[in-house]
Amino acid sequence: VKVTFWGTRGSLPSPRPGTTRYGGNTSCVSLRLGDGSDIVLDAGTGIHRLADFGPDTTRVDILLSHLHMDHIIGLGFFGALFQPDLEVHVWGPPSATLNLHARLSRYLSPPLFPVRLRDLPCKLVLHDAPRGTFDLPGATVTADLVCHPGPTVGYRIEADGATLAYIPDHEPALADGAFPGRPDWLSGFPLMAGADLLIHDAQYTDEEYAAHVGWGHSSISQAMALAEVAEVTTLTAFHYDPSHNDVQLDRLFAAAAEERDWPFELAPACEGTTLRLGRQGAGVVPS
Amino acid sequence: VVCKPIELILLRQLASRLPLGVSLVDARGVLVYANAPAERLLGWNFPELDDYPISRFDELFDPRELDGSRMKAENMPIAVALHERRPQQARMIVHDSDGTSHTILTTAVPLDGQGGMLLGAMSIYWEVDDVEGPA
Repeated sequence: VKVTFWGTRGSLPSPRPGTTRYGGNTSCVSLRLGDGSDIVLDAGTGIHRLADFGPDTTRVDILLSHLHMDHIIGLGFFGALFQPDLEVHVWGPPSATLNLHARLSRYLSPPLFPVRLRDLPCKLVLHDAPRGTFDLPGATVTADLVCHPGPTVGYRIEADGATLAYIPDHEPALADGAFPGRPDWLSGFPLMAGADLLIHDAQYTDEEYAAHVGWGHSSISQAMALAEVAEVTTLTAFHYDPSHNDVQLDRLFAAAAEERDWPFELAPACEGTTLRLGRQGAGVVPS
Repeated sequence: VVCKPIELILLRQLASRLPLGVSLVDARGVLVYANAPAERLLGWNFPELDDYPISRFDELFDPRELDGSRMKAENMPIAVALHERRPQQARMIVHDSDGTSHTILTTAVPLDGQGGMLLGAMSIYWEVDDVEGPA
């Protein structure tokens, strides 16, 4: 699996001189599988940098973790939606009230956006992500609800002999004094357990988290604790707070890594970088 | 590790901060959590009762109707909520681990997840002094 980070920022696009390395675009990660299949994780502003797909590509699957604006704001600017021969499947968290089409249409319709979903040239298919395991071309995906305001899912994707977990917005420590506590009571644990790569919310410092309990995000140290409990091989910190610049993130991750001898590799996400997993490479190898 | 659904995880976190007794059972019908007020009222150390089935709650609590007649486990509100997937409220008598009786008012609701998935049931209860009044 070729994993490319197109947007790593949380909450708000934050392009400025101080964020060029970790990135200012909001959540978007693409997966190119060994059989040539393409999966896109979230549709933040980073999705705009994903190039059009060539004639060999007939289908793209977009897995939305949830419908907060920073995760869908780029959807209308995704070139694949305007390719008539392309089948685009969008998967999103189920809601108790409205289907995915109705919820996405709140944004992708006037006055917020000039083009309606029904007018997109591609062959668009919308799915409520089933709570459980389903198959995509070249991959097996497991979706489950995780702790974040509003319907939000994390994904576990198994492909090419590798396992990737994607939980960009997640507050498993919410009101849990014993965090991380017992794994069977830990939000997202089955998605993360034993993954080769965990891409996880690392929005706050511990001090910032204390002032934002209930906002749906994790601190870097909480993400580290999760990675340890879940016994992942590599933790990729993700969904950076808009206020954190490259220098601050360097310092925060260096401090977290040096805290002790962690049983996993810490590889914070940087926009525009690619990792390889599974049969396409040995472990996680920056390209 | 068999993990709890997020709805149960969040309810447990909420219940751990409530002054009312709260019990959670999962879709299998086994007790997965009871908060500290529930422990204080009923006298049991609930972590020791992990996976205790509600079908045997009558052995644990000796539940009674207000007239003193025995209440079957299957008629306890949390069992009704789980098996019939509807809320149920009752004023009833239970016995704690020492055999002391308590009149409680309890409300149980089924926990239906999105897509109609049954996740379990929750009961909320508190001790009341009177045995009369609306249930």
